[in-house]
Amino acid sequence: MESGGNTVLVKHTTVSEAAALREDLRSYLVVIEHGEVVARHPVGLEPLTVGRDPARDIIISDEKVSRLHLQVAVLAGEVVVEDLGSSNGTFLDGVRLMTPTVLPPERWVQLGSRLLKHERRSQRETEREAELQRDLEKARAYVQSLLPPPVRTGDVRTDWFHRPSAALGGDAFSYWPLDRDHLVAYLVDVSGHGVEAAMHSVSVLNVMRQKALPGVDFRDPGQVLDGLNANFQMEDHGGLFFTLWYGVYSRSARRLRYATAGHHPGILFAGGAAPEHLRTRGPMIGAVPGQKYTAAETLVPPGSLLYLFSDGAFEVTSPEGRQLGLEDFLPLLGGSGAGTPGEAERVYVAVRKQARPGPLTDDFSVLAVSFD
Amino acid sequence: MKMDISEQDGVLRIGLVGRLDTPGVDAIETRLTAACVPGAARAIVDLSGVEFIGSLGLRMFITIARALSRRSGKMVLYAPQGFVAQVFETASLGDIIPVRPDAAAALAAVKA
Repeated sequence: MESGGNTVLVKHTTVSEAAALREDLRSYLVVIEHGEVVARHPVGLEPLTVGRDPARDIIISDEKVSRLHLQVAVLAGEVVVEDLGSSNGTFLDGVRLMTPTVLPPERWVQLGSRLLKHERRSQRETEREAELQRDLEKARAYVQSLLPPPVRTGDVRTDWFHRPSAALGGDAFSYWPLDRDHLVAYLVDVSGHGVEAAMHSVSVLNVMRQKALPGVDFRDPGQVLDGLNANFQMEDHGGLFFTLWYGVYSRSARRLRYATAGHHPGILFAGGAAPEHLRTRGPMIGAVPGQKYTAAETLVPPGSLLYLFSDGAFEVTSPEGRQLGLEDFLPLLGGSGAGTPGEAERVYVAVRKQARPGPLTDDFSVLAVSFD
Repeated sequence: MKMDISEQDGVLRIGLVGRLDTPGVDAIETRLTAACVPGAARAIVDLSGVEFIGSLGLRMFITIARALSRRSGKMVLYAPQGFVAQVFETASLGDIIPVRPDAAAALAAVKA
């Protein structure tokens, strides 16, 4: 009897839980840009307006979207989309909406290059995701805290801009004085992006911060790359490798020694007609056991400006869908006032203008170093 | 991302078309690895139809090539174009995996 009673009780609880979960489900409008969810808005009885104008509830910066494009609301338990006379239209399954139309769950409408998808999810799912987002935000703050503050005074000054493509990214960089004469600067780009890449870049940053490479003279870029390569073989690190630009500047000699591992050149504007491309040949760190890296050097005249950057800065797609490369990025560097604070962000804004609208697909880092 | 795999005279011929970005790699990595690694294949990979390669694409090729070299298999890439050729040069990929200009040179290298 007792066990039978329990069974009934269990069944009863399960049914009521399921009912509670059903009641808990609510509708969200998800904004999808180039296949990625960029925002999620709860939809209720109060209509949400969507358009390019900053006064809208959901703002979409796309030239093909009208200032006031459409509105969405729950009517009689259904999500209903109404195009408010937009110039370029709202489409459901390729058909332009002429009247208010029900948008069923898991379906979407298209306006410009964006999709608005109707998603049903429970409060609990939404809260769980918000919690995950908060954790990611904390992790992002931790990674940011490992990046050095810009140096605004002295004979060597720095300015940087860092924007991961996801909440976390695999780009990292740092600079510090080795001794009274020597300054180090480097930039790391871990394969892939997201949490996995960020964790790897943090472990590289910490090894470098603590100079935890036994027997390595940090004034010698070749030794540093050899040491990192011995410590970060991809088989021992979840199949991850990273590219690296590493340089050491001697104030007394005005000489920059550098070495690169699978990385594109650093760009030095040294007063000559054309900027100097600072790169040595060598594969990514972790890809070839026992690899030996060699360094090169150059002189740094007063007034020089050095740029280090990740490939996410130039591997972008133009609005016409063309793949852009280093040759499209280089003209954005240098110019008058280039050594002033805000230079790295200026470069970011210029890249965004070259790229199609929406978030960049890879992590973006630019570090500018100016020398008196 | 499109991938064709055929076999001729004991050599896997793999043709790739599209972008080897994160979704592109996700779409083919498991099948490509399964086709090459367990049987210690000799494989040549036509990249003439690949317009973009990101770091995950490089990682996929390096991982497969390293697994093959431990099993006495071999992978040779050929005909990278424009952007992809530039990425290979920057990464010094030729130091890790043989890269050849065309199918005939790739066949000769994979049989060597």
